[in-house]
Amino acid sequence: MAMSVETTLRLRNDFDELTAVAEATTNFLEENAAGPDVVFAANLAIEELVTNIIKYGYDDEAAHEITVHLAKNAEILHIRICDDGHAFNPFDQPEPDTTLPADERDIGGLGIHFVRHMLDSCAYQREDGRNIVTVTKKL
Amino acid sequence: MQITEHREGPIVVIAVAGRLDHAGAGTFQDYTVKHIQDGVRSLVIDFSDTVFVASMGIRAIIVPA
Repeated sequence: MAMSVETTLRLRNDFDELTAVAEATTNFLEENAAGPDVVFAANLAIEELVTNIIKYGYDDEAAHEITVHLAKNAEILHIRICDDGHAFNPFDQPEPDTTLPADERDIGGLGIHFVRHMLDSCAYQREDGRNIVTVTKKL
Repeated sequence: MQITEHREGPIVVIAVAGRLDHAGAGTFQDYTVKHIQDGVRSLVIDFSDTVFVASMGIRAIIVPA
């Protein structure tokens, strides 16, 4: 049977906490034999999705907790990110027009575009007042 | 993220090592914008030792350009 490992990282809605989360994610994945493509995809998904939550997710100035749950077996990595901000489905936004020249493009939308294309599945649900985003990467 | 720079004649070469993520994007953009404001017209960005670029990092590259 394939060995399965998991960890939960918790951070406040503060950009300064992202660096520690990136380090913890990289360490956890490298210790559990994930390849550099998986480490990169996981870091990208967490950076982009958590940045969005911190920037746009909250209607107040209070401290909030965001959890990042990583679960890996021999075949797949699951990343689940939960926050208690207002309901927001990041995958329900229009795709940016990447054919336009750089100086004519709208700002924003690029991060989610990367996540959609670098990960193998992206899902969103709203449950008990929390946003739950789950992305997967095949190993 | 670590930024180092050197000059090759009129060209300024800026090397970015580590992660060009949300934390580093502002610093990087301030750096390139300062050179442009100081009159530098040829900037080369060396990403040889860059291990990660987030969308904020890409914006920081495009905006000064």
